[in-house]
Amino acid sequence: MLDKNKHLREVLDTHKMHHVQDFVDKVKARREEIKSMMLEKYGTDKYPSFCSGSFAKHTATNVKFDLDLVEPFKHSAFGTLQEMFDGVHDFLVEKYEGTEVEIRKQKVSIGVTFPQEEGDDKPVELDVVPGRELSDDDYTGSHDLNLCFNEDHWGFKKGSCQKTNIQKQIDHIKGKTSEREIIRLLKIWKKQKQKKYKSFVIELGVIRALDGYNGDNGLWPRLKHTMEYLRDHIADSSFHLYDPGNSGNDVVAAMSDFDRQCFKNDMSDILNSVEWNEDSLEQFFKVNEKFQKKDDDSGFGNKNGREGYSNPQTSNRFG
Amino acid sequence: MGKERIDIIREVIDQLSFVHLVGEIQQGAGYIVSCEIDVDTTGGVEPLRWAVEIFPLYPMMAQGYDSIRFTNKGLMEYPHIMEESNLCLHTNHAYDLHSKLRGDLTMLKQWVDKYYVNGEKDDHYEHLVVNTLPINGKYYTFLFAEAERPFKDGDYGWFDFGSQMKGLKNEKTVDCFSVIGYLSNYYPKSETNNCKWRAATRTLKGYVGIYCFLSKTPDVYGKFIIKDYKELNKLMSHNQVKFVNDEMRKIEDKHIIDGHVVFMVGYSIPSGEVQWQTMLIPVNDLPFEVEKVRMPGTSQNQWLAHFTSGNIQWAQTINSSYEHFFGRGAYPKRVTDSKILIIGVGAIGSMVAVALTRCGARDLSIYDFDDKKPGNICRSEYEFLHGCGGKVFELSRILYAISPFVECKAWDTDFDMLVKGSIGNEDGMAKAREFLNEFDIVFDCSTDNDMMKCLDQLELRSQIVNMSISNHAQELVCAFSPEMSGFVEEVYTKLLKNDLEDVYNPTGCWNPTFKASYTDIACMVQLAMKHIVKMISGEEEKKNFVIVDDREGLKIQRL
Repeated sequence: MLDKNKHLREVLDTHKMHHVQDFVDKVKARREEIKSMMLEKYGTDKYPSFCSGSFAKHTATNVKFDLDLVEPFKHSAFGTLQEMFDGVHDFLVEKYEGTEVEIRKQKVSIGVTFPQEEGDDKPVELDVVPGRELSDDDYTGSHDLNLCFNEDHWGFKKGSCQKTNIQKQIDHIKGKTSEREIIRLLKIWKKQKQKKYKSFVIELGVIRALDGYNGDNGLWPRLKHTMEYLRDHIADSSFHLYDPGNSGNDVVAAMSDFDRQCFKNDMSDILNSVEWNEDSLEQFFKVNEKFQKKDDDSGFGNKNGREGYSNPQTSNRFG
Repeated sequence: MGKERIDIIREVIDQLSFVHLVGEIQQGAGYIVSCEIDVDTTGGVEPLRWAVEIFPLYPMMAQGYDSIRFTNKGLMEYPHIMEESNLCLHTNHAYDLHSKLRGDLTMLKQWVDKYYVNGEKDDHYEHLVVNTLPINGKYYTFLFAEAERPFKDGDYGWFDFGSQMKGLKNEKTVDCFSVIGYLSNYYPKSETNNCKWRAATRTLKGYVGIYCFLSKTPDVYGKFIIKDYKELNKLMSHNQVKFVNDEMRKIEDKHIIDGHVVFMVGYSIPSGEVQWQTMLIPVNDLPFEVEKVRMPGTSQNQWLAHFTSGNIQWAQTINSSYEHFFGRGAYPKRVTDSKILIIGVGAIGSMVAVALTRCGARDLSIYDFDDKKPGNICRSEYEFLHGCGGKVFELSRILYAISPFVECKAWDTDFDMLVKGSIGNEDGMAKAREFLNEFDIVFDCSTDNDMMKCLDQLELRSQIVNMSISNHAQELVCAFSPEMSGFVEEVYTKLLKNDLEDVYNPTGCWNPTFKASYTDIACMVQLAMKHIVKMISGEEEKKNFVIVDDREGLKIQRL
């Protein structure tokens, strides 16, 4: 029988960032490069840039992580948010002109993709998030920013603003080591099963689910409790998860009813399957085999008395 | 017993203010109770008198009919009054005579108010009532499907039809025929207007009949089909009657059914569809007369044909178009309109093929290299009477026997070479991809690990669904592309309690196989198909799953 806590621990360990430290260093170097360019270009028109995304929140995994660079601009720096967004985009295009670096406009950020280097699994990618303080000199005290909503899937809302406070979002998760482990597990599941749910919903959902939790501290009990909570609440119309950076932004309300039901079903399916057969936990939370300890003889990966991952013989499957 | 029934009937009539007994309640031969009643109307209209007959089985139904009759000979033009002047009521069920009669009389009163007093008509269209009696000791049924092109008033010509297997009803033979297509004489240059059956059904043809398309419905009171040939003179043009008269006299013997020429009349019904009615006209007693008529404004004479008086022998004629054939239940169009391939047609594959066909699939292809043996029959869709041979060829015949709308290509060689031989060779893979991507959905029921792996490697655009079961049909595993093999391998090696000791070893030289009955397998396959169809049509999120049979029943575990 599968030791669920041990398995989940191995899932987390094999997805740790230190396994890809060289690559992380490259990303960080590129981030510093952009930081310097931005400082040189905009000088006193902006406040010091800072890092956000999963890396800053310590919820990154080595299969999916974001090193976002937030650029807080002064209110007087641009006439409109769209001018800010376009200005930063055009500046980066100009700076990297003639190189193979790709610059593209995204929903609230500008995506920068550097050419993939030999030996790397993927190219270095960074998101630059330009934001403008709400009014003159407001940022220092509040850290509130208006982001430019460039466009959504349908091309609506272009140029509109979205108020947020990235610093508060980061602070919201700060020190929550226990919750972060569960967030990382669900993000690993999301990546492996190619789910489209927003990571932010998972983050806020896990923190809510484990608020006041005083049960068994093992990884599986905490994960199970979280999944049960989300199963029981996510599709409920009276359930809300507010962005700590903007109390008017309910991230669950932004999900479609269908997606909320799918999320509920997903949680229910995992719980039911594990109840049916504990070993099925491995189907939902897979170890990153690339970084699995090869000398581990604890038997993980092999069901007791069975021969691991070999193909089933034809006579094992019938039809 | 008899007296008691009469007392209860009288008591119920006395209790209902809108019904009045006229005279006495009688009990006649065969314990049939009869009486007359007046049912009140409104607005000063005279009460309606009804003759009532209550049969011994009442309040139970008999042979699908109510065992009470309300008759009034003066109401023929009203809805739901049948040819024998009785009211066709679909009454509510009750176990006891008192409640049942009370309910039936209340419904009678409702009919009087709705149709007699208020003159309401129903929105729901009902086909003309056709009493199909045996003709020379046989029943005849004709099936037709929507034609490729619409018909126009005044059209006439010939139609092809073919024979199906004979049936039995009331100890008499039922000859059944399918209409294949219509060749117009009204539009001489037009091509055959085929019924939308699959192409292979059209090869059934062997008989020829005559058709006319009418501008009016051949009805009496809008409810009953006409009974006398003479009525046709009012419904058909001179050209139509002339054509029918001329052609019936020269129709070849080989096209004659039991001494009868088959004549169909078609007409439009409110749904926009065409309804056909078929009559069998004896060749030795054709109902025509011809008279010489002076052509108006000329000195020339013309011979005009008319139908003479005589009873029409109607056959049963049923619209079996796709929408009616599958009207009671079908898979969504996303599935039925798909081009589907099934690889491996053993127990699971043959059930999948039959389920798809019964649920409206139109375009199936099936592959299996294996032969059917008698031992396969007990837990698959194969049949003893089909003999032995390649599974795919028998299965295609079975599918054709089920649905006249399915096209099924079957082959038993080369597929393995095409798929497995392509791996590692760009041209071969391109060829295999091109072939397989022609299919929207591919069911891999082969349980061949190599096939599963190769299909993964080909990275097809088609949706592949891999299905297999464990011994004793304890679990059914279903995986969707892409990346099926990893999932299936892990499930079988790590999750299932697959008992590989207690397998079936046929006497002689054969591979051991699993043990499970038709029911064990079919209930899992049907449950799996239910969810697969929902997942493919977007009603459910697509997820690999395992169906597990435990003490609480079948459970689906989505992984």
